[in-house]
Amino acid sequence: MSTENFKIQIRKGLLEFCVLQIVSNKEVYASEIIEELKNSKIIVVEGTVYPLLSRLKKSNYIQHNWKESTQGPPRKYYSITDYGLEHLRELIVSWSDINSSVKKLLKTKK
Amino acid sequence: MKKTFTISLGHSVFNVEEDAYDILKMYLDSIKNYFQKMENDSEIISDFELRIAENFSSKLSSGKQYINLSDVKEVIQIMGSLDDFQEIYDDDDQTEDVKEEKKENNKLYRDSSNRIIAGVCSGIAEYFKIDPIIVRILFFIAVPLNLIVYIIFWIGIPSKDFDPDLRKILYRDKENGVIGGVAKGLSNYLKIDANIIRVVFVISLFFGGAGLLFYLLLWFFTKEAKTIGEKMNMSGFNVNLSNIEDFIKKKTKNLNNSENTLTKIFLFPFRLIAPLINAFLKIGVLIFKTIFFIFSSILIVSYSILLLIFSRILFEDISRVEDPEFYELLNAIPEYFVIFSIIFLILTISISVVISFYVLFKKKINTYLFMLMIFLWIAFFILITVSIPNVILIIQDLDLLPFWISGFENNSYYYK
Repeated sequence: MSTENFKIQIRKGLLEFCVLQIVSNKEVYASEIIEELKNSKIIVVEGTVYPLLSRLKKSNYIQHNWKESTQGPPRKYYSITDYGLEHLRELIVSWSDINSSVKKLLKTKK
Repeated sequence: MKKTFTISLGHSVFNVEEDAYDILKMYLDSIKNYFQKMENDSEIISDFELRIAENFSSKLSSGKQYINLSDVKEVIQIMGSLDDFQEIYDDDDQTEDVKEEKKENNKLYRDSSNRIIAGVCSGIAEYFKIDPIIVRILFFIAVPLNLIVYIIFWIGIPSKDFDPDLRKILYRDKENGVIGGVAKGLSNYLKIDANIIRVVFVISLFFGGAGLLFYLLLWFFTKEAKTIGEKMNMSGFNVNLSNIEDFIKKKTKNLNNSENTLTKIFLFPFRLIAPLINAFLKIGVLIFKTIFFIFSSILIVSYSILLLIFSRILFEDISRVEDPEFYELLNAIPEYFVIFSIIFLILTISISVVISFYVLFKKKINTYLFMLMIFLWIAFFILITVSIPNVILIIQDLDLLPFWISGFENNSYYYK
């Protein structure tokens, strides 16, 4: 497995988790989500976010409503649902489990 | 100076330059295609458009009021190409879908999304993954046989919608062509060197000229690639950013790449006659249209006259006709034959009107209606043909035969 491929696989696995995390903090619109993901280098291109958002919405983890914006057309704001919050908590638990075990592995190797 | 298109995208309106519009449209179409297959969700696409619109509006200012090619390229780079999405979203369940689709494509269908009559040619083209034009022309050349084959296929094959955008399309490449760009277009399409195709065309001239016919038909039936989108489509490029750049690079390279001497010598006579042939063809098309127009008008007029006569026979008492022999002859004709002939003539007239409308003004009527007309026409043609001997027998019984038939009768009598 090349490093590039490794990165893609990791990102792919974590993308949903990260988006849920961002949405759980406050009501955000798509561009803000993209901005944050880009800053943390989770995604490279913006297009990948939209199908994920739609998938999350289909599984009832997030919801959206339209809000007028001061400049330009109305924007779609996303927020997390109760069901999504529950799911996110489970994800956080499993993530910290994985994270700690990987860290442990790395330490023992040293 | 460049032409611009006004588009509405994500609740906003933009002016987009022509070349930028081509690329943008291809990009959005390819995305639409991809996501529709995947989630069957139009929301993703509208979100996409919204985001692109945001990007575009940030690029506009009072000094720059349109979107150009570099803006579009930048946006595509930001949004990502199909390859990027595939990396993230190619799950197991989706690969299964793709497999299934491939399996489906191995069956022969009639293509209801791209048809002229019933989509048989287009379906065959889809099956072999070639341009429908080629199949249509082959059908056109094989005249007597094709009708039967076509009807059999029509009845026997189920129809299905195919996505026409996924197909490579045969265009004429006039920019790089010698006469009409047919050979170069074919070479783009088949990925064969253009000169090989040219040589084949030239050689075919010495063997009955089938190649010439093929060339002319292709010339008539294919479109010239004009926009960047069409030019890319003709070479079978998929649309994403790297491909667009590759394509533009290749094009500029091609311009610098000069032909070798042998090619020049080979092409020289054709370059010489190219303008001549072009002019001839233009005149030819004009003459063809005129002849067709005159022919069909004559046909219509003569049929109308015939129709009038027939209706007089049917509805009017023609006892006043001075020629009693003629009267008797007319009365002897059985009524069913007259009715058949009238219906046949009406059908012929309406079909020729429809066809001439199509040829002259590119106006189509409902295909099923047209096919129904054709079928009825054939049916009545057969009915009339079958009843003609009977009618002749009846007339013979009258002993009032026109001279040419009585002459024939005398001869046969003589042989007895």
